[in-house]
Amino acid sequence: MSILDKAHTLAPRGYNRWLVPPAALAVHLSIGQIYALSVFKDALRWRFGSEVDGEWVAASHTSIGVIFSIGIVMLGLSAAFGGRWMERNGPRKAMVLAAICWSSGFAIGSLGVFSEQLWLVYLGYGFVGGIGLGMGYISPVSTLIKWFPDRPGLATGLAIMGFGGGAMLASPLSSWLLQRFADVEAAAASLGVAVADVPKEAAEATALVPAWLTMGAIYLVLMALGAIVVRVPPIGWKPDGWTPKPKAAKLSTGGQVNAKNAIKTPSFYFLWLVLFLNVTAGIGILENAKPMIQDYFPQVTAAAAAGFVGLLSLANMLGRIGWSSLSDVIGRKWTYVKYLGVGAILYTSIALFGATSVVLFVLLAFVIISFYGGGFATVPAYLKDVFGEFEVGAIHGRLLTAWSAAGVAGPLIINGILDAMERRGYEGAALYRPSLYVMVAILAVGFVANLLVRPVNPKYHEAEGAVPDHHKDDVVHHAAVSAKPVTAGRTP
Amino acid sequence: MKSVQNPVAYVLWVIVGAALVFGVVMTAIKTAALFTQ
Repeated sequence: MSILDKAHTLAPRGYNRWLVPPAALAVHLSIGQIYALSVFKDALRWRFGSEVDGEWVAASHTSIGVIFSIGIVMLGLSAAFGGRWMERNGPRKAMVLAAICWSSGFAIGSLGVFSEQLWLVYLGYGFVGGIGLGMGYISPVSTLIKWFPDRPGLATGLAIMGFGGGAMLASPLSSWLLQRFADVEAAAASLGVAVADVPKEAAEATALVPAWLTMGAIYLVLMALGAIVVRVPPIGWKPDGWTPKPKAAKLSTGGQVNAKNAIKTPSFYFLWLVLFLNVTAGIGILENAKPMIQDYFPQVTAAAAAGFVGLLSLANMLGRIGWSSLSDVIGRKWTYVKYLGVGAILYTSIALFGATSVVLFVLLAFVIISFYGGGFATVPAYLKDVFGEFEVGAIHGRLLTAWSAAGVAGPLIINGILDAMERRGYEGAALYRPSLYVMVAILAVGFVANLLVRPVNPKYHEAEGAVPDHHKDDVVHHAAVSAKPVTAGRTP
Repeated sequence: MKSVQNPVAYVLWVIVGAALVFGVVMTAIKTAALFTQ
């Protein structure tokens, strides 16, 4: 039996469930690097530039931005198509696959940079790395939901909080690697200029290959440790002294719905819309964070603006664990009422009053991005409430196509409006107001969609006592290793 | 009931915990520039 098999990840009786979250954090802190890809943007633009009239002209923003878009699209697609595979094969195999794809993405991307073939970077970091993103993203979610049936919001917050914080680590690491490996003399020689005249991005372009290879190796080790540590609970495991309520959430009918039936229900599509719109709105701030604060407040330096971007990464992470945990207390629907309703008020505030004070602007943006992160973290628990935990991992994977769609639609909407405003001569805070009002409208639609989420019609429920296909092997394994009924483990 | 342990998990807690603290401190240092200029 392979050590990657699901049966080998089965936790023994009495296993401490708090030993499982670091596996999720290790994987998500690694794949969260994609939010810091912009650190490499200038170096990549330089590397893939071309000579025009004797001058080196950097590649377009769009051609380099496509790397990120392919990664996010592949995240959604691989999560959607790999969800059931992950449920059947267990989180360890999914984490190993994610680690291989993610680190290979860096390696193939490095080859693309080395050989000046941009399509290889698309294929490596974007396509192959994107598969690693999707598999890594969903791999710990259903496992932690099963370990924390008493606190599903906390579980999903723990599972994916690292994704929000990944950029917080990757950003300083990437900057340091670019400085460490930059070969200014080689850049000067290739440009035919003095060392002092070498542009920063030209020097950094020489560091891309070793920097990416180093990062790929670091993430491979970190994610492999996550795969070693992850454990799934025995079937029927529940914390000591905890008894599930017949209808734990108002949205629950107490039934279990499989992934195929889930996508036949209106609630799945309302939830898809909620996630799509919440993400689209959040991207409005995230995508333009750095130029936005400098346009609002011209006195803000580039270094301080970079600090603002880092702060939003922290907000993204804290929102995931904080708001998602709170959803266990106030309920999932009310949590999204807050994300979308209060979020719309905050967007209006930043449009109307954001320019009056740096502190107010930063505070509003911080809360908005915490809602963005919270929206991601709470949705698996929302799915568990509505569809049960039967195939929640696979259903979550399918829902993540909303993220792919928002990853394409969000920047298109925001940048389209910004370009139009710029052409009309607007600048400063006025440049952003129309796009912020569009975000308010988007959140309002999401607000209504959230209110329309209803308990699932019982005709879609699985029969009482049904076991998902991916659990049938586990049942056999349990029967083989023990004839005794499974009892609770330690629950601190 | 005696708790079953996994030493690698403790090591990983230390690694990810240190990484998170490092990230938060770096972010705080950079963010300070926003309010001190």
